[in-house]
Amino acid sequence: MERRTVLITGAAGRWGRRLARQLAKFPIVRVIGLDISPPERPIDGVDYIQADLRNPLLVELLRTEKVEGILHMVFTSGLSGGHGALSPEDAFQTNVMGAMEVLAAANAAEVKQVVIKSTTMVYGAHVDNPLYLHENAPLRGTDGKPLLRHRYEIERFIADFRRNHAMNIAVLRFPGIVGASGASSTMRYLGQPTPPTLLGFDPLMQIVHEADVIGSLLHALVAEANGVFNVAADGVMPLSQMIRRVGGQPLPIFHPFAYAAERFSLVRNNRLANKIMPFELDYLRFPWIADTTAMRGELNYEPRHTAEEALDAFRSSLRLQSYRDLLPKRKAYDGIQAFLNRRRQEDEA
Amino acid sequence: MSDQPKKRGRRAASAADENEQQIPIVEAKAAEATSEATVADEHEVAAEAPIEVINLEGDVRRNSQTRIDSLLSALESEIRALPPSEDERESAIAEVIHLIRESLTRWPKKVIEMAVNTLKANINSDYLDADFWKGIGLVLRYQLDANADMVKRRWRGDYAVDEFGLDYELLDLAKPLLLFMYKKYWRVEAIGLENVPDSGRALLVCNHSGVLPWDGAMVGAALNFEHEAGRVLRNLHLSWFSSLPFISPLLSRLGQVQALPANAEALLERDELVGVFPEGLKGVGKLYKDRYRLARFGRGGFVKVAVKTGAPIIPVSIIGGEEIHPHLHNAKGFAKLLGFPYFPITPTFPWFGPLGLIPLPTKWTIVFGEPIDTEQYGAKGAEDPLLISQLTEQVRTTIQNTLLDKLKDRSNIFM
Repeated sequence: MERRTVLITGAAGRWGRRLARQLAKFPIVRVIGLDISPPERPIDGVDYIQADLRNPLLVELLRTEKVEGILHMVFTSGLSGGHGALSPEDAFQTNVMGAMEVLAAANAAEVKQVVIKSTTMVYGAHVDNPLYLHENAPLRGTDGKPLLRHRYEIERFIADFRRNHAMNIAVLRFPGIVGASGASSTMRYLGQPTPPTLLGFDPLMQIVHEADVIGSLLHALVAEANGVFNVAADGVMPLSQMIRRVGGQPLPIFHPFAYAAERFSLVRNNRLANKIMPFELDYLRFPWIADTTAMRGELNYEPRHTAEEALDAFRSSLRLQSYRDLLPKRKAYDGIQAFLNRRRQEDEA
Repeated sequence: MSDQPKKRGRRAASAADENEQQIPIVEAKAAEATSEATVADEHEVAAEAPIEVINLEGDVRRNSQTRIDSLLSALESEIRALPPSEDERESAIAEVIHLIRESLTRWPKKVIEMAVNTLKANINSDYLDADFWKGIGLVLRYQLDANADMVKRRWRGDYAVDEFGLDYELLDLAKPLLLFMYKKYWRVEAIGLENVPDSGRALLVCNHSGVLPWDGAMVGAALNFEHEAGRVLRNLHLSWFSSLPFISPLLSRLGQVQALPANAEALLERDELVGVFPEGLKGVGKLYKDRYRLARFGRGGFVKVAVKTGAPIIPVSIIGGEEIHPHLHNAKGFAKLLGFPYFPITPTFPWFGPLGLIPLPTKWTIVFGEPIDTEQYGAKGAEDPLLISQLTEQVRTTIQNTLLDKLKDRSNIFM
């Protein structure tokens, strides 16, 4: 039985780590994890390579290992991470140039499938947005925060790249990610006791469960999907309802004041402010809901959790936050066990 | 003072209920309790209106006494005349009469007269039935529980809106107002409701007017209250409203959607009933002198969507809506200053401030016309500009002709 090789870039990161854990469960798949920093907890069955993404040897690696699919999960906020804080320029290099080079290398090495994670924020929140944005809607979220611009640049590059290359590239656009882990900007925002909102505005919002993020990315890899797909949980609800469902109460702020604060950089580039309000204010004012017809149709992915379930899972995890020491602990990484497993597999092969 | 008799009657009746369960063992106790209550009542009434009972001249007093006595005996005889099956009730009323007699000296004459009259009026009704009061109590309690539960649920965020933001609970809260405006204020007459399908998609094209878009609400009310299937209409509203605080979420929760072709298409694809006002701003901000003169029907975008989704077009003509705010002049300078699309000067606005927003109680007629089938053209027809403009003109002419037809028969805008 020939094992098929999948490369996960950013394998030590939040999404790369989980994808690796899921993929490693399949005996037919060989997982190579590439990251600039070593994984916090190595996953059994994953070969880790510690290297910068932008490395001329990447093509060589893809060729020699006969990599068939790439899950490109490198996307840094530049604020933190294993590598420490990055300058905005370095973050741009890593996010945008990194994606470009991975695509170029994949194409050169004749990789079949590349899967990239993006966000529905690239559509931008505008007053004249249709309530359901299809994948071909114009991307108007460019004048936002630098990170959003990175996403936009990547998407633009991929759209161009598609025209000249036959390689399968699946771009999955996700709305705010919610689940039990508590680690996403949406969850940081919703998890506050009184998340600030704009007085008199209560747009419909859309979210996705983190299990569905993992699930759809893996699905796109396995199903050899090609194209751009919005992936979101069923069920839209007003922002205030989302906040209430998680257990907080919205704190409405008169919007000219909020915008003034944003403009005076009180909100931008300030870590505390960033935590309170990780979005552009427009995203709390106008709708930016993505249509998921193509997800069900062409991509053929059925989300496992509804928006309510995602919020309820997040709420439960919030409630248990102060009892975290009482929760069952994950077993410590057993290096000997992993080593023995690997040897046994090699013997069998 | 007007509801005084009723109040007294109920109080007496509740005393009767109390007795009904306990007679005759604790009769004395009950009497005591009632008399205590009556003392309190006396003060209450005295405070409300000075009553000249206690210090009256002897003969006047005797006069009123005899009148009350005759009233009571008449009441008693009426009770005796009740069929025997009403045994329990009879004894209850007899008990009340007994109590009234006992406390005659303490009650002002007016109060007694009112109490007796109320009792008399209700002898044959259910007011004296304990079950009636239990029923009322149950209903009240249920309502209170339901309301408290709703507030709690909404506080927790435990409610649902549909895919386009419609919150049925809020819509139910808005219904009494809509019902009042529909039934009592504008006395809307809906004609041709059978032209609206019981299920499935349809595009309702209406004439627009009235400065404030009440017409959309009334077409929705007609379909919800009078249509057999009680359908919910999703009106498409001006994009401008979506940029307004409070208005934008409110419209969304009440089922209105911003007027964009993509939204209309999505709604029709989900087999909703969509209302459009292709005159748009030109219609709603129409001057009074231009009433019932249809403005240009946009660029025919609504027809395009209907053809694309195969939804039948139902022309809807609204008569009466164009006079609710006589729009005499559009103060464009003000409008520009405030960022409004228009600033109406009406006989009442802005002179009376917010009171000027109260519309005139005209008489409305809404005519739902014969549906125009669009399925025959297929989705490709949407790309045919000639067909689109023809259909647009057809719809416009139908509405204009229906308007003229109804105006011909109308003698007075208020009747």
